[in-house]
Amino acid sequence: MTEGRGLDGTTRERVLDFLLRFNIAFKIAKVYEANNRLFLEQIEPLFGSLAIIIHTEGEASLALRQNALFFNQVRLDFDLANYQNLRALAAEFTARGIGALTFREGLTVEETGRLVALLAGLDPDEPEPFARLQQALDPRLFPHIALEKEAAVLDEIKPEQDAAKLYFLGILMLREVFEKQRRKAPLGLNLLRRWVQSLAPLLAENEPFLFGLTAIKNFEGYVPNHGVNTAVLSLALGRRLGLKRRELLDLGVGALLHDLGTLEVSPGLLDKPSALSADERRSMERQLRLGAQRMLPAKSGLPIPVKAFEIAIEHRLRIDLANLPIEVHRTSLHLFGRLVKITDAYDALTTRRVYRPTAFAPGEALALMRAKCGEEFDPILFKAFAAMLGPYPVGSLVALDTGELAVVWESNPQSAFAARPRVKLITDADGKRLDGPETSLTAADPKTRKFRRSIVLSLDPGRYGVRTADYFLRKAR
Amino acid sequence: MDTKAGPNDASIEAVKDIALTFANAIGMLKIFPADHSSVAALRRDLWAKLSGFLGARGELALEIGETAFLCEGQTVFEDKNLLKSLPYVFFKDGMVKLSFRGGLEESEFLDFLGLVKADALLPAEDGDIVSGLWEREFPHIGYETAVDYLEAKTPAPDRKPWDAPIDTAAFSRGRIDLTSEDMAAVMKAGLTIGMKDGAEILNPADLTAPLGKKEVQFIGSLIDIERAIPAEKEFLDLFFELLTLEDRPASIATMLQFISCHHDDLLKKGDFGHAALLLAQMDALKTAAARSAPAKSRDVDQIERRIRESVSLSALKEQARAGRMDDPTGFFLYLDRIGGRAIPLAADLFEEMQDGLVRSADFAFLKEIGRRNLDALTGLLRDGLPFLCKGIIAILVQMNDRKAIPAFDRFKNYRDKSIRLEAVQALAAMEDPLAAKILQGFAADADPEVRETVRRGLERKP
Repeated sequence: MTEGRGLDGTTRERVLDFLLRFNIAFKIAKVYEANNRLFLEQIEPLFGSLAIIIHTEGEASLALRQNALFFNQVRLDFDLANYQNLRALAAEFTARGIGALTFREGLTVEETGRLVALLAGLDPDEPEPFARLQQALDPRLFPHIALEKEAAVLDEIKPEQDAAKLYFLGILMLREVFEKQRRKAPLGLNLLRRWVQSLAPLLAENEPFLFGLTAIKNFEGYVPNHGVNTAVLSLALGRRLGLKRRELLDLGVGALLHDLGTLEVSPGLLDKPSALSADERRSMERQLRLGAQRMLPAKSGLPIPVKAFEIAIEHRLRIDLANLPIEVHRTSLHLFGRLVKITDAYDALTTRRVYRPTAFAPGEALALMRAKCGEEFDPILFKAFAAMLGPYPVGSLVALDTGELAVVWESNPQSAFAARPRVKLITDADGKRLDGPETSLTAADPKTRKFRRSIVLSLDPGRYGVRTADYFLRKAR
Repeated sequence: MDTKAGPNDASIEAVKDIALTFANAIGMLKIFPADHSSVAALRRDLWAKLSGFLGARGELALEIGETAFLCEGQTVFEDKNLLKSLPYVFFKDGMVKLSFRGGLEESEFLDFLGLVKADALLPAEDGDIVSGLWEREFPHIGYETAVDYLEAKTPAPDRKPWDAPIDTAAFSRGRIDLTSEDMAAVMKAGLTIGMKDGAEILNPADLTAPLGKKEVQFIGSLIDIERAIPAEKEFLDLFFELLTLEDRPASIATMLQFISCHHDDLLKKGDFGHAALLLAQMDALKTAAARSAPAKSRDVDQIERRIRESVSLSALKEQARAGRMDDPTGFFLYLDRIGGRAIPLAADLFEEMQDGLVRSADFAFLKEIGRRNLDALTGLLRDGLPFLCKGIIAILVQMNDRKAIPAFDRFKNYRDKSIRLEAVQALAAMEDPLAAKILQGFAADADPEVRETVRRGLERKP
C-alpha cells in the first residue's frame, strides 16, 4: 500500500464525502430499523456518492492497516475537519475485525442499505464478530461487496514495547541534551529529529497508549520528562491539525526543547517551593526566553531550528500578549508557539511540582485552562486540544457512579460520547483493588436501556498512590 | 513481473552495475552542479538502468552494510573510504535496507538523489538521511532501519526503564478509599467534573465540544499563514526580538558575532533579500537602543558597519553575473543597505545584465538613488555605456523634475549617437522651456539624424 503522496484533490473530496455519508448512515442504522424512512434517506446519497467513485476509480476499497485508513491502497491523510470521522470509522472496523471492505461495479442501492444495516446491527462485544459478519454476508445478497479480515498481529510484535522504549529513550536523550547544553556543547538536533520521526508512526498506530504514558511524571527530573510529554501531546495535536511531516518534525523538536531556557534560570527561582512574586515571574520568563539563544548553531552554515527557536521564545507569552516585554513589538504569536503553550501548560498542571505538591487531575487542568482562554491560551486551538483529549483524558483516574474506580483507557472518537471513554476497572464498588477488565462506558443495560456505568469525578491518582501509567506499561511487557 | 524470484547471476550483475552507477552519480553530484553535462549523463544512465531493472523485476532491494551494498547477501558494491563511501551515508544513520519499487518515476528518483547528495555533503554528525526520507514520503522508495539505533546513540542508562518490572500483583492488592473531600465531590458531582476550591462546575461535554466549521477554517487559515512566512524572516524577527531583550554584554557580543556569520551564510546562499532585512533590523535596533542602552547601540553599530564595509563588491558582481541571487529585488535592496559604494556596481550591472527582471529591479534602485540624490545618479553617466545612459535618461524623464533637465546638457558631447538621440527625444517631449533651450544645444550635432530629430522637436515647442 502506498504510504502516500495521496489522492488527487477531487478524488479525495469524493472519498471523504463517501466516508462521511457512510458514518452518518451507520450511526442512524444503529438506532433505526432498515425500513425506517430516516435510514433510507441516508442510503440514497451514500449510494450516489459511492457510485461516482466506482464509476471513476473502477472500485472502492476501504482498508484499515495499523489504525490508518487506506482508500484503493492509498493512505487517507486527515486534517481537523475529517479527523473524527476517519477515527470513528476506523474504530468501527477494528471493533468488527474488518481489514478491508470493497465495493465493485454493479452495486445497487439495496445492497448498500443491506450492508450498512448488517454492519450496524452486529454487536462487536459478542465473540468472533468478523466470523459472524462473514457468515451473514451471503454472496447472493451481496454480490458486489467483499470483506477481508483484519490482518492478524503477530504475537512477537508488540508496538507498545517500541513505544515505551522510545518514550523513555526520549527522556534519557533529553536529559543528555540538557547536560551537554550546560557545558555549551552542541545540541545534537539530529538525534532529537530522529526521535520525533520514530515516534510519529507509533503515535499514529497507538495514540491512547502513548497518552497513557504521559501520566509518567518527574522521571529523571521534571524537565526531560515534561519535554517528552509535551512533545507527545504536541505531535498528536499537530497530526490532527493536518500538519505535514516536515512541520511535525519541527514541532516535535521544538516541544522537546521548549524549556531549554530553564538552564538560564537561577535554581533558586526555578525550584522555589512557594508561588513566585510578579517580579520573580517576569524575571524568570525573561530568562527562559533568552535561553532560546542556546539553539543558535555553533557552526556557521548549519540549519537553524527556526520553529524550535519560535517555541522557546513564545511558549511563555500569553495569547493576549499582556506579558510581552515593553521593548518588543509584535502583534501575535505563531502557530507552534500557541500550540506548545497549551500542551506545556497542560502537562505542567498535571504534574506535581516543588511549589505545588498536588497535581491537578487532567479534567481539572483542562477546566482551569479553559477559564484562561483568550487571555493565556488561543481559545480555538485549546478547543481542538480539549476535544483531542476528551473531558477525561487517557490515563485519568476516575470515579464511576457504580462506586468503582477506573483508569481511562481510550477516548471515545464519537464527540457526542466524549464523556464515555473506554476504561479499565481498578477497584470494585467496595473499594477493593482489582485488575479489572477494560470496558466501554457506552455499554448500556438492555433492560433498563440506561448506561451501565458513568464517570462522576476525575481524581488525582497521586493522592491514592495509583500509578496509572503502570497499567499501560504492562502492555509493553 | 516477478518480485519474489531469487537473484540469478545476470540480475546480480545488473544490481552491481546500478550500485556502481549510483555511487558514481552521487560522487559527481557532490562536485559538480546538477546541470553539469557529465552529471546529467550519469544520471540519465543511472535512471535508464534502474528503471529497466524495475520494469523487469519489480523491485530492487539493497541491504546496507557499513561500507557495502548487498543484494540477497552478496556484496554488490563496496567503498571502504568512510569519507566518500555511499553505503556509509545510509549506514551511519541506522539504515539496514533501501528499496526501489515498481512505479518509481524519474522526478521522484531525482528528488531522492538530491536528498542523498545533500546528506552526503554534510559532516556525518550533521545529517540524517532517515529523517530526510521519512519527511519526503517517497511513494516508491522504502527503507528499513535498525531497531536499536536510537538506543545505541543514547548514553547507556544505569538501568533500562522500559524493561523495569512492574508490580502487577499490586493491581489487585489492598483497597482504595476515597478521601471525605473526594467522596463529597462524588456525591455532589453527578455527571459533572468536580473542581477544586469551589471553582465552577463544568459539564464535561461543554469542555470538549467539537470544533465548528468556522473554527476549523480559522485553524486552517492559521496554518496557511504560518506556511507563507519564510523561515528566514521568522528567524530574523525572533533573533532581533531576543537581541532587543538581551542586556548581558557577553551574550550581546556572542549574538552579534553569530549574526555577522549568518549574514555571510545568507550571501553565500544568494539570499540577498534576507541579508538586506538583517541589516535593516540591525539599523532599527541600533536606533531604538540609542537612548536606553547606548553601549549596546554602539556595539550593534560597529558590527553593522563592519559587515557593510567588508562586503566585496567584486564578489557581489560575480554572484550577480552567475545568477546566484534569490531574486533581483532582494539583491538591489541589499545594495541599498550597503550604501553609496555599491551604487557604481548597480550602474555596471545595468549596462551588463541582459536579464529583464534584473534590469527592471536595477532601474527601480537607480531611480530611488536619483530621488534621494540627483548628483549621485547623474554622476554615473559615462559615454560608451548606452544601456545605462538610456536607463538614466528614462529615470530623469520619469522624475519630471526641473532640476533634472540640466543633466541632459552633458550628452551633447557623447560620441555614442544612440545616447544623443535618446537624450534629444526625451528633451523634445518635455514641456519645460529649459528643455527647449538645452535641446537647441544639440542643433549643431554632427549626425544628420540627430539634427533632424532636434529640428522636429524644436518645431513642436511653443
